[in-house]
Amino acid sequence: MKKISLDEALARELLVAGYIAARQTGFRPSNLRRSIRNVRLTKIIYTLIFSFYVGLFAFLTSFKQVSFGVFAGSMLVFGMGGLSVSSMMTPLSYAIYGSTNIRDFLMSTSLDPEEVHRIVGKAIFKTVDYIVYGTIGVSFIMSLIFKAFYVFFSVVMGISLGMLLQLAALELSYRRSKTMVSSVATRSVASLLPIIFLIPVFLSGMMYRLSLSSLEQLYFIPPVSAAFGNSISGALASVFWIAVFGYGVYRLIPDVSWKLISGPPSAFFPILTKKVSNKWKIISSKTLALLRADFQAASRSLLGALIGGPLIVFLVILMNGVTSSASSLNVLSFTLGIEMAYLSIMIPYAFYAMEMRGASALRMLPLSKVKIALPKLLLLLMTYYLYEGSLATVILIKHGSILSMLPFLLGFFGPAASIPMTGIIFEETLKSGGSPTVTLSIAFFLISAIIVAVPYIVYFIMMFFRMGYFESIFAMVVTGVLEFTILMFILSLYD
Amino acid sequence: MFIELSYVLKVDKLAVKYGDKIAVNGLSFIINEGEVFGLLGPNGAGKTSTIRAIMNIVDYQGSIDLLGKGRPKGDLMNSIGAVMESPAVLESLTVKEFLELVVSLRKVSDVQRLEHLIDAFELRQYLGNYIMNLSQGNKQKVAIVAAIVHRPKLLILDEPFNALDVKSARIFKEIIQNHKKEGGAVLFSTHIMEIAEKICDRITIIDKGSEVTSGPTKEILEKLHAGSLEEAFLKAIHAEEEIKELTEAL
Repeated sequence: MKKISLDEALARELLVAGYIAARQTGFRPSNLRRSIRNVRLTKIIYTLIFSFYVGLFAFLTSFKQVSFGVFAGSMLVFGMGGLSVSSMMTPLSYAIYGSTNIRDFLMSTSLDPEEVHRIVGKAIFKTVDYIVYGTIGVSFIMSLIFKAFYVFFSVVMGISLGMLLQLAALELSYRRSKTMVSSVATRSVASLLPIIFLIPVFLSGMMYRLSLSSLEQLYFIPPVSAAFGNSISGALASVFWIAVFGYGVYRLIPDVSWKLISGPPSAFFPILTKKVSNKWKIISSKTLALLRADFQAASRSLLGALIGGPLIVFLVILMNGVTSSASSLNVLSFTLGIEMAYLSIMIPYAFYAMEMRGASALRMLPLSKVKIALPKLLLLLMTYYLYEGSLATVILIKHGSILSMLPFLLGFFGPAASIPMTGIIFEETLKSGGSPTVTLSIAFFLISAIIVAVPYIVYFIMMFFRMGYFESIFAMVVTGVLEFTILMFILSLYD
Repeated sequence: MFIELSYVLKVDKLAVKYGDKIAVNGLSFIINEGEVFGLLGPNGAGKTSTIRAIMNIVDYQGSIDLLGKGRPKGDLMNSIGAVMESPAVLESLTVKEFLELVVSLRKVSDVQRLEHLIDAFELRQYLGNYIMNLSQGNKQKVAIVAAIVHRPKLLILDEPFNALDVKSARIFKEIIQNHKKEGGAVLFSTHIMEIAEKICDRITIIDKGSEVTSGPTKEILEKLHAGSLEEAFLKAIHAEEEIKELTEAL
């Protein structure tokens, strides 16, 4: 019989608990053997995707023909490094917490507590080891090929800081708060820390004008130091910060991992002792009742990061719009509009992901799949017009051309089509006993990226063939409506 | 000519497969009004898979007909109340928030019944607690209240007494009996024979996904020359000899 070490066995159990998560969904995998095999495959695919992106961006930013700028390129790969770890660890930790069977088993062994904490820490790291090795390996090779060592330092700094922030967020979420204010503050910080890397990724396109020499005074401050990785002083500063972050990870990981398998985070799920009101708040609209429950769940979930993140990035993009001139806004509006559209679809996705915990409970209630999708649609409608409307308002205030925003003000159905699509992905995932983890995120981001983009592509093609501005917008809207209707119909077939 | 339907649930040639594994193989049964129907079988016999098919949670072949209206889905789910093996609740919500969601979606206007159920299962002190922080027994009580608050026509119970304390188990048994008297139907799945013997009017014993025997509880006892349902059950699945051999080897 092949021997397996305890940390290896635990890592496997954590991955199965995280990916398959039948305990949370209440659904059994239709083929457990296949699901377990897929867990490893998913890890490999995810590693390949992130390594590819890191490699691609490293190539784009290092290649001399592309004047992307060293600082912008460094921030982009730094953000990707951080996101690669946090985007995998956030849903995994969400799926794992509360799976106390692992802790109960370890407590029944004769191992001493310190050893147990160390082993669990090692097991938690093993859930993201491929992605760490993959992205670091690719960035190292790219750095050697293009002699752009800042790529390597940026990725390693992103990964080490990403892990540290993820662990710090979890550590925070397990802290008991004495007052409501500190509880809300803890919750917010814990939710937002892991997705802070979205900001450099989204803003890198706007930083290309910043020259490295203008930032020379800041070379010791992370993550700027990584951009100076081609100089000795920058490389030394980067090594220093990576060592600091790495040490932080080394110190935090055993304790945080143990907490993770010991129960739900107390910042999100405190033991309440206060009296609740005697009045029952019954809502007659099913859509609003479900929307309220989604908001309640979101306010106390690590996945709340998926809601807070887009809001922060929205504000940053909006600020960028405010500080740009009217003429550059007319040019930038399409990029910003598309970014806003993609940001808005993350919020309904987060709600679907949260409903996975206890998905079988929803199946017992008189709700069709379309009814489950409606609250998300309503929310998307509000978010979409908040985002695009704000951008349009900025353009109007700055006396820019509102016509440049027309495709977005009329283009709601493209992003809306991502909701039935997400519903379908979730139904398929539930059938295979999946959970709101990496497989689902990949499927969601890849498929949604295409679905949201199709109407815009139609618009571009029409414009390319000089079919007229309003005709192109009309074709774009019709494509979006068609996409949305077809996908809604397919979703209804799952009832 | 009108045919009056008296059945609440009709399952015909039900088959459930997980990949290559057949979990349920051609199972058929009918549950009538005012009847407690027991679905009995050893672990892995296909009881939970049958229930999951009825609840539309897994794909299946064959037909399932609820109250002559077809497959349970959408608004028809209001005719069902289900208590599953592991409590089907939304753990991120507090007990009160979850029950508010359930009564909102089920359009329950009788809040007094909800209040009575909360008191009967001693949940009032936990209304403000997150379900995630509750003990397994209390989670099960929340799931029971959510399943019966809307007075469903059919109660589907999959090992409902799991983790319940003695008092709550007794209360729930009384509720099941009252539900039956009022013309409701119950599909009761368990491997605890003592409870099944006391509350089931008719039973079907399944093993490896297929029916082994079926009929009124008394008739099955007579047919298998058994003094108790446990004895009848072991005879039906041919486990008596095996148990003897295994215990002798210990």
